Amino acid sequence: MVDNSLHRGVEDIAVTETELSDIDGENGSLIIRGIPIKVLANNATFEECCYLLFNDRLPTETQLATFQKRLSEHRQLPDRVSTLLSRAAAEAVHPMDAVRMGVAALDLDGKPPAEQAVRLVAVLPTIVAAYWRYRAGEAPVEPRTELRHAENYLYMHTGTEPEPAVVDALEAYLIAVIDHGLNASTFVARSIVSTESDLVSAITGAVGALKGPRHGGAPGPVLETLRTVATTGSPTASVESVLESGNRLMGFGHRVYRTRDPRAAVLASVAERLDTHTDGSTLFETASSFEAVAREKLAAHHPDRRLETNVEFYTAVVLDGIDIPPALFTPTFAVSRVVGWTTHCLEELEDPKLVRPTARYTGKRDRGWTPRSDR
Amino acid sequence: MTPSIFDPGLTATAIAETSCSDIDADGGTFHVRGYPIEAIATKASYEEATWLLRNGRLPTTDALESFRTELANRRSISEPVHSVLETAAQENRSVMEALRMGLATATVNSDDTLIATSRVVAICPTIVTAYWQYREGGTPIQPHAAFSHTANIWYMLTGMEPDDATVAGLETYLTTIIEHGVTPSTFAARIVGSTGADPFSAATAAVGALTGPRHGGALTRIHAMFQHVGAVESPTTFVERRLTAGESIPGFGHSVYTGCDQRTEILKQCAKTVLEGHSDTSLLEAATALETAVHNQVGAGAEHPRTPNVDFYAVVLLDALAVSPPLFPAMFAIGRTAGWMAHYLEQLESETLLRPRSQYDGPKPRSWVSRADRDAAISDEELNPDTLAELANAFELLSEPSRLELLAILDQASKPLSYSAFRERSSIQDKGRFNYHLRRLRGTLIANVGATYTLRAPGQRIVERLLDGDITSSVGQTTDCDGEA
Repeated sequence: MVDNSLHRGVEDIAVTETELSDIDGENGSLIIRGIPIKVLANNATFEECCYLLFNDRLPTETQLATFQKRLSEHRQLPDRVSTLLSRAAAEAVHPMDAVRMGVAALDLDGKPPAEQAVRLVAVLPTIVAAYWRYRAGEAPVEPRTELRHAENYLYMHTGTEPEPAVVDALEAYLIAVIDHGLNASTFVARSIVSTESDLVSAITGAVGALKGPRHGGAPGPVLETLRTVATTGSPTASVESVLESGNRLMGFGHRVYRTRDPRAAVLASVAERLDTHTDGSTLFETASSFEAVAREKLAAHHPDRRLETNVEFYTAVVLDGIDIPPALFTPTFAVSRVVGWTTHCLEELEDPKLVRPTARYTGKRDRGWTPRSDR
Repeated sequence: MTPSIFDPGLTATAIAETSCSDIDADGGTFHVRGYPIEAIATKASYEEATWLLRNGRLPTTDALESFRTELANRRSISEPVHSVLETAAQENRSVMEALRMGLATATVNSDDTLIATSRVVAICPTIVTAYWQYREGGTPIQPHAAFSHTANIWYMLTGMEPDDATVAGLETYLTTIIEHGVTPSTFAARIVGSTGADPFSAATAAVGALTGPRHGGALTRIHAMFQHVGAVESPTTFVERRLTAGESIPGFGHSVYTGCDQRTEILKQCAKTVLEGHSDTSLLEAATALETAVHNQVGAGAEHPRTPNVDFYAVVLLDALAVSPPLFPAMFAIGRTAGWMAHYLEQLESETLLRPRSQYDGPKPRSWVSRADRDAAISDEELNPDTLAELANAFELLSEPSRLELLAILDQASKPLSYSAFRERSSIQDKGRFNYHLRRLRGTLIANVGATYTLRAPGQRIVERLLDGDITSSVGQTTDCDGEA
């Protein structure tokens, strides 16, 4: 057997070709299906972007209307999923556990993969919102088909129609994080369908991976830091104390980008618009001064490493600005990323290539069996 | 970091250092924590093998006894899980779907990761058998703490106390397949573990990977084949027909072993032992006859594998143990859970995120086109008379081999072609005919920019769909070389 070379974390290995997203870590660019992320976030609706990922082209007005309608008709939860979520809420399980349960209990077997994808994208917001309503001791708000995707997600949380500025901010966020190559959750989804399994299995796996703190867990801690800094008014002290303690500064540094994450730039302007709209009541100002201090200090503290603002930093500001509670930051990320997950699955299914790596054995060899009594 | 290596499927990559198990792909041997699989299969109880996988050494009698009690005490499943399983059974979901739903719904009242991994191992049999009882129209049989892990599986499945021979046979199956390196399902569990997520999420992902037809389907196909050669066709004729047609034989081939797989022989011997004194040994006979027929008909060095894989005799053994065929993949999952959890823990403890890269081969940067200006020559959604007429026109345009050839030439050219270069590559001799076909395609499928020709986006799509073989090639055959077992 060939002794395969060891690549822990496989970060320098491309395991598949993809037509979905092109990440240039050195130059800090992210292109989705040929279109820069900034252009998408500034111009597209969530549904439009979803259509682009699914179909590799931008929809015409009629195509978009048809697609929006289709998506909106798949929002309802099956009764058994509602029951499950209400019981999970009674036990106060982690929201991501609730999402995993809800997705795992969907029943799409036998449907074509592309239909499974639409259903998963459409229903995920309902799972998150319904669970959170149950947790608050309230009945879920039924989805409304005439509302658009982002609008309806907010509506299902509150029962009132959200303001356009808030919808725009959420929509820009959902577009900004819609896909990002083979992060761990997308990778597990692709690996699962590489066995020609179904999309429900794959997305359940992806939700599980996303739950892990090393993947997408930073916006919560970032928010806590910013809230503290907003009170103390001293970003410098905050940054310095983290750096002196030798801890990671949450919201900075990325596995792939050596520059400021292009999505951070998108979300920074979203946060700024939102801040203007709310007459400066968001954490944008605090975040922006914190970012300036942090970049400067990080450069001085780690001259050999490029630690720049990542997507999670401004995610905290935007989601907090639209009143998404921190416990729902990761589930809301999933509401967006499910588009990337499912599209990657569809791409994988076009030509499934079983992911079958090896591990290098470093344990003991050739041991003799000792009977129980002699151990 | 720019990816330096392109390794689709990671088949040339070791993703971690492991001390769980060691596969000798050429020699066909397999060691778990340094012990030969044969010793584990014939000497260890499932609890003992699980403890070994977790701790790296064999347990003392006391350690084993307390582990056995720990697992036995974690077997019961909550009311919400029962409810999910009952619904799954009513809706006729497959056992693997039920297992996914059950595992995803299960929780543990502890933040201790080790306890959670024990719980995963302990509850899989309860989930599978509860679902099965619901499906058979009965009520689930509560786990019995006095029984061993394996005996309890049998008890929950049948409601009967199993005899020693049955427990031994089932236990050998479960311990033989308890672990096998970084298979796709184990890898899924490791990726989830790499993010720091919990064992239930990892096990659910692993089950998802096992749900694919490449795995569960293989066991079913092998079972169907055994019944077929027993009743319809002789093994020799069957093998000859399949090989002549260039088709693979279910149960042959493995993505890791180049020759034999030691575990096959273990399960074969075990099946023989279980079947001693049974009146119906037709499946075993069919299997051995097929094994011989393949060995005789496939020449050494031929492309088709000559020796059966672990699934082949697993089917004979599980059938001999009176396990229903729909449950086969779930029995495999029940056995493999301990391996998943050992790898999950190893990855978790390494604190290394598995985050590979991809190689972009999508469209080059394109500019934003406002909605009103978007080209909708061929819509996939509104099948109204207008768009159908457009579609028909497109097909009319394509119903000519020469035009397909012109599209293919442009697709294969790495850069835009000048008129002369384009004509030179075409097989159309007559200039008038060449010009005619080019004219028909220009503006719709082919772009004429300056003095050069390229494919327009719709032309590109058509070439990709039609000429790359999606439609024209025959349906590719699947093999059972799934690499999971």
